[in-house]
Amino acid sequence: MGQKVNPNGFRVGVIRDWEAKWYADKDYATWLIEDVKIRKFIDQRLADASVSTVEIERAAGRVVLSIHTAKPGMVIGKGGSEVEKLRKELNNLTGKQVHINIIEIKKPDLDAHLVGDSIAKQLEQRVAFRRAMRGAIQRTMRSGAHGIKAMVSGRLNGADIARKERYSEGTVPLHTLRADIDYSWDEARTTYGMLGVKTWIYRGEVLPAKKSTNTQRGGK
Amino acid sequence: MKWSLKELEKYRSEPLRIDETLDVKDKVRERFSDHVLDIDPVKVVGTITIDRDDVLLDAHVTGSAVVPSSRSLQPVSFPFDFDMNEIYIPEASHFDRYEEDETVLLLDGQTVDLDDGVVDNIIAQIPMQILTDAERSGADMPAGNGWEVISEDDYVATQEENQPTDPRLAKLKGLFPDQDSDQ
Repeated sequence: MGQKVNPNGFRVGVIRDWEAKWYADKDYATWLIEDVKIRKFIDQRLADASVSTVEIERAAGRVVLSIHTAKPGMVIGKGGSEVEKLRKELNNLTGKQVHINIIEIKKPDLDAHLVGDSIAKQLEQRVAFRRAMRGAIQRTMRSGAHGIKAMVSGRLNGADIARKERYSEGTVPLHTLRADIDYSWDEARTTYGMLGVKTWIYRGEVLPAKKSTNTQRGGK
Repeated sequence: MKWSLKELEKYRSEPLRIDETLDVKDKVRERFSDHVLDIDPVKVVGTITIDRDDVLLDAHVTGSAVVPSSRSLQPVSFPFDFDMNEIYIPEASHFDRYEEDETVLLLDGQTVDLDDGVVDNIIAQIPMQILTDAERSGADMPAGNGWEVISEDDYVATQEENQPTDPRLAKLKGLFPDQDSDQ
């Protein structure tokens, strides 16, 4: 079996940015553990809110969280009651002032985690896995993806023997670093046990921006 | 609507034509109450054909559902109109008969349940992002004390504007204090 690198990690620093943006001279370990706690807390608290990524920035005793979600309504609740509560809980968890930016994802069908999560949720609600995968693939391709690959593994339809099934459409060039490929691994808890859902979405190429003449004069 | 495989046997020579209006409200409420607030009766037009013990369904499904807005949870009407092409097989060994891109489903018992299939397909059609007309036309994003909702475009624009200096290089700024004014 081939050894596979995570497509997201493979592209960090090339076409993808880090999800934590801060620099620490001394408190590195403390802040890192705090980041893990924040992410875990948000994962559990907003499990149904279609949260894709959480970016964490820190500056002068302040934590700025950018929560990327397809359903801001689920995060903020009626009249903002839920997000106020969430902010207070995060203030207590970190002991710092937390500011929350809720970023509404423009095309959620191009986000691997959201697509994988929607397949997983449908599997939990007893939708036939082929229908769930087919629907997700069609929606993603309609949203403008260049390719998608989805794989479900486990006791599919409650079969005695676990297996994997994968469907794909278009191309997913995993070895091309400039290819903007989003990858996610999600789980569905069914009555027969856990099913794993892996999703790869190819959103097109990211080409380097043309450098301005000033930069070139500076010797780069 | 349900048919047993025995009932469908008589349609070997000529396909069974379907032109039905299904009331799937109860099924949807039971399984997907968080996704769908309400659903009108669904129109299904198509045929069922029997081919070597397998059931081939080709149907066109139209209708309308009410789903919560992804931004404000307000009810939004969602009209759907899609084709449903599925193959139901009584035995797993029949999978080899079909191409990989076809939707082939192994029957649980000896019956074909159209209602379940239609409901599953409607759920699979609902997009992740649904907005009310006002939200789509660019209504103000909600904000409060210590939080705000922003669009992805605005977020990217803000990030590009406020590109911070790499903190590891921040100390270099103090090396040539006289030249700061030249910049």
